[in-house]
Amino acid sequence: MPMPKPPTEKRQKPPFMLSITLNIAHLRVRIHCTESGCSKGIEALTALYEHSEDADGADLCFTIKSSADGIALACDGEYIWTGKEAGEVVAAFEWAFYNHTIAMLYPAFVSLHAATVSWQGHGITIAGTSGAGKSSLCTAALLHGADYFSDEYSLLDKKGYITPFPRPLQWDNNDHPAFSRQDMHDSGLFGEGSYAFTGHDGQPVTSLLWHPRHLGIAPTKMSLLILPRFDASIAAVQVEHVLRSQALMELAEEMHHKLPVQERLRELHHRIPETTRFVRIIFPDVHQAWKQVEQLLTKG
Amino acid sequence: MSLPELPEKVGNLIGEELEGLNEMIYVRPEDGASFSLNMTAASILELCDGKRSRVEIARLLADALPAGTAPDQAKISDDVDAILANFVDYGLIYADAEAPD
Repeated sequence: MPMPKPPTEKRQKPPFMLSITLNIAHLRVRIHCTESGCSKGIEALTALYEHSEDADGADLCFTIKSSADGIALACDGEYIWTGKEAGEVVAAFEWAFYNHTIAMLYPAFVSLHAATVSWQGHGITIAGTSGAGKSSLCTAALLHGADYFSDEYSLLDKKGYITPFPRPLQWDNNDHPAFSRQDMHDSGLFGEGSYAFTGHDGQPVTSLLWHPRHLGIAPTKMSLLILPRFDASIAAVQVEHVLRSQALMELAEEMHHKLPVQERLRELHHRIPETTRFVRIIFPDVHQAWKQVEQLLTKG
Repeated sequence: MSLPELPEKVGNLIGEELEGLNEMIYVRPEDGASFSLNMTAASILELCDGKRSRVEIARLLADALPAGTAPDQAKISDDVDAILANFVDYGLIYADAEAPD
């Protein structure tokens, strides 16, 4: 007598699926999305990372799928967010993607709240709080031929090298007083992406994402650390050399990891090369500031 | 501003000597503030135990300097007072009326 077949669950294949695997430093990060409304935003946010064809094994796995309450975001099976609107879930994904990835990369890498570019073989890290001018200086560098590593998460390894973490370049506001959108397009150095969501005030928000075309591939040694400060009230760019101890103290405040301050100082002191130069650049005009950086690097 | 007679380093201050820097970095855990001191200033701060007087600290500092290199005691005392005033400003030692019992 033939054995009865066990009942099989009828699973409906989702009508839409985006599945990508990213290589970030030594991590493999997979993203499965079955919500078509989220896919454009997720693709725009992850476009610059190295994509892997190999779907086997992942260190982190994000899933975005529909649930009874809306669209659900999870990481490694743990619930993170549920939203009614696709853009809201994409915004939550962006936040979770950075936080989980950065946390998993430590201690091989410490993440600094800093931009990094490589120009003519020099690794330049630009650290500072929002509004200090790091994304502006980073954009100016890219317009002058630098390779892009990150505008916000600079991953410093134990040998003093920065590994690419090329999230799309974002400014605090979509329009930047020093760089018109037309100039950015005309340069041919940037692609553009975006995603839209409803802000806290109920108003629609479109987050503009610039995709630099010249990306750093291999890690770059941190040759120069810049502490920028935009100051519209001064006439000309000021460059001040900064002691290593002072730079370490300021940089300790820009680490993404929640460590005691003295531990941050130790980590930074051990990782940042002895040969790294530290400067504070106070500028009223970002283009002038970049010229000063070029001079610093070419004149030694 | 009057300086404390018996200067005392504030509690919980953590000193971190980073190899090769020839400086000490002090961290105040309550607010995460950090301060960099050269080794002379750091040794003065370490002498602020709430038991030694300012005069005694200045004398100990003079004794530690190589023979024949030390300025006169009055000059050292003035320099120590100036450094202690900085310490008070930056909250590294208790101000005159703040010291715990």
